[in-house]
Amino acid sequence: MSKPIQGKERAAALGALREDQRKRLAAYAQLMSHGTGDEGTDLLQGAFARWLASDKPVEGPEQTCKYLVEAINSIRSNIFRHEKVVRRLEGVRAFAQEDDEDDPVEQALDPAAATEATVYFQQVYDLCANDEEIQLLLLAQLKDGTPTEIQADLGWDEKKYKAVQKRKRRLVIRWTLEGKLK
Amino acid sequence: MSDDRSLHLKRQLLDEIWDEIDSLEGKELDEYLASIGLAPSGLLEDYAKALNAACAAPKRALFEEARRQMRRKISADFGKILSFDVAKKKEIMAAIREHAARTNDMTIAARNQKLEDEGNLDSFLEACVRLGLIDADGNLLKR
Repeated sequence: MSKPIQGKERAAALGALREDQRKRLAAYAQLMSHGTGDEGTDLLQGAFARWLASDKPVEGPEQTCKYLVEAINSIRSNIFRHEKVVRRLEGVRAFAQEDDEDDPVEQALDPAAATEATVYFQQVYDLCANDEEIQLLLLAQLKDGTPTEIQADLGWDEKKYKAVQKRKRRLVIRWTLEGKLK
Repeated sequence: MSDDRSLHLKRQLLDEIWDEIDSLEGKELDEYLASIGLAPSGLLEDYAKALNAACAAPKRALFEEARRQMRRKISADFGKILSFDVAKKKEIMAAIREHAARTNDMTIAARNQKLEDEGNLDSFLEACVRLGLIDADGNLLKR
């Protein structure tokens, strides 16, 4: 069973987040839920549960927000990792188990992760077929260039670099929502 | 493409999703969210719903645990009282009747005034344990 709530302070910290922060977190949870089989609110609830049970000191709204984002990411990757392990060991599972979380089997190394990351990159690259600038940026990022190095390599100024970055980010968000990326 | 690099880049692209959302605020944030089909008011509702559920979950878990313990206890109590011999059971039954008549705290249904067999007696005693009238040893509990 999860740890009990340590006072009302932790719950109050969640209630104290600004409206914009709440919207961002709910939107992010919804985006990250795509392909997991869970709803965005499930991921958010899971992140809240971790926060409520955590020993991490309550600092401020920014730190709380950061914790929740990391928790959402962790829950998401646990879902994928668990699905892969279950599929490998038992075939496709018929239904989710209540005690799925914290299954030690989930912690096993995933040998397919790197392959999937390569496929993910290729998907993004292909979806950008109509935007050569984003493709150039992706290739430059793949070479591990810093923003300054990329700008120098591509002959872009900072403004142009930021504009292409923004376009790329928004397309990735849209494609994630549309289920084209997982 | 090295495995490390592709993993790192995938992580970076996912992180950028949050970076983009986090870079916006106020009207600009609302407009962007609406443009990708995420209603700002609906997101606030989602947040509240998830928060309520998360806060209620530990309390519900405690309640469920208490209920499970109670079931286990009652089940154990039944086992004990039902293992008594018939004479002892009748003795407990008589004490309950005497208590009911003396205190008027309870009314024993007419069908239970004269129990035909041990099965009926067991059912009656089980009900008395369940109601908290007697304990696992058949002792009357003070109320």
